[in-house]
Amino acid sequence: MHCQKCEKKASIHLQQHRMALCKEHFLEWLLNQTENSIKKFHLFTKGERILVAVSGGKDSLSLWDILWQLGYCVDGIYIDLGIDARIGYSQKSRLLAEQFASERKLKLKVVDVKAAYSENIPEMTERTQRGQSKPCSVCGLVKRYIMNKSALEEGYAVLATAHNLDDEAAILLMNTLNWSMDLIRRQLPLLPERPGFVRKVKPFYRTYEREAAAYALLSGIRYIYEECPYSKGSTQLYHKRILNQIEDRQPSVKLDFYLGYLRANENRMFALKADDKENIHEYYCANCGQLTNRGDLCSFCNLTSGQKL
Amino acid sequence: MTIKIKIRDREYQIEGEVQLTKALKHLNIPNQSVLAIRNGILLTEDEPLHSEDQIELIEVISGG
Repeated sequence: MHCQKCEKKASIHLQQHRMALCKEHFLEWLLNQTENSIKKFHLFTKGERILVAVSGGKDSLSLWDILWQLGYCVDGIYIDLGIDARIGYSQKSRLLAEQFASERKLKLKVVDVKAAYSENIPEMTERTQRGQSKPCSVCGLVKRYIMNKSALEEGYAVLATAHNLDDEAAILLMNTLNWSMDLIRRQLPLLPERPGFVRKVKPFYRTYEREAAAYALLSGIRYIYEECPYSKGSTQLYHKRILNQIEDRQPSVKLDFYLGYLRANENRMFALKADDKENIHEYYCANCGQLTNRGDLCSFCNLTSGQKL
Repeated sequence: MTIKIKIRDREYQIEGEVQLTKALKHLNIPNQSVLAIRNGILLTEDEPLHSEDQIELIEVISGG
């Protein structure tokens, strides 16, 4: 198979785009595609300060590299979750994120959960029994809180996460199977800023996970290849595997699924009725001031103040 | 005279010459879920695999 642009031997075949590309043209193509995705939904501009959430994995490091290559003003935040699971998971991923930043002279803020809140994620999970020994729900809550807080306190205009198309398609599948309309409504590449809530964006919303991995490999980015030990057997991974089996038979099905959702959303297919809007209440946490859908303390402040959730 | 295909800590062996796409199908691994590397070079799925090739499959899906 040869590169569609230069006839050199291709490094990757993108079935969903009916296109094969050599290393150089693939790297250039993904940069352009990301720039187009940013512009299409007006995610951010060159003049704005962006904070990218970095896990040490292929997606977040590739996204950070691409935004940097495109000339955006982008710093990183790494949250040390204190997950060891006998493989030093957090230690390894933190080191890779730090090395990435240092090699490119980029600014990386590290938040150590245990140092900041006296317990790491497995300890919080064990104490609260939230998630029945699986820390994913505690982990998601803590990460969302810290990312939002850090972005607001340090004056970033926008928080970027590396959710890719496979993430979005798998989440959309799960939310559709459950008909979780409130979640479906919010599964957009941009969630606008509100008081207490920084603008959140997903510039990789149309980037296949395979493309992000190929970008990391072809550009020599070292990332943590080990899976988070707690993600084994997760429903999201199960849905991703099923979607990939369908994609092999029906190329571009994941892209069509998510882009179809975005079009439906633009056509207000999921819009709230006036009556529903009146039933939505938002509060500000009495302790930290962040937005919450419950009175008094938000879930994070409840978690860290010793409450069982 | 076998092709060795490694994915994480698992290793498979396939006899004879075969295209990468057929090897993946044989192992029931969706092409979308992996990237294949031979001698440090990324392979497209039409690539013929030869006896004594050592292929590493990099899993690309992650998340919790």
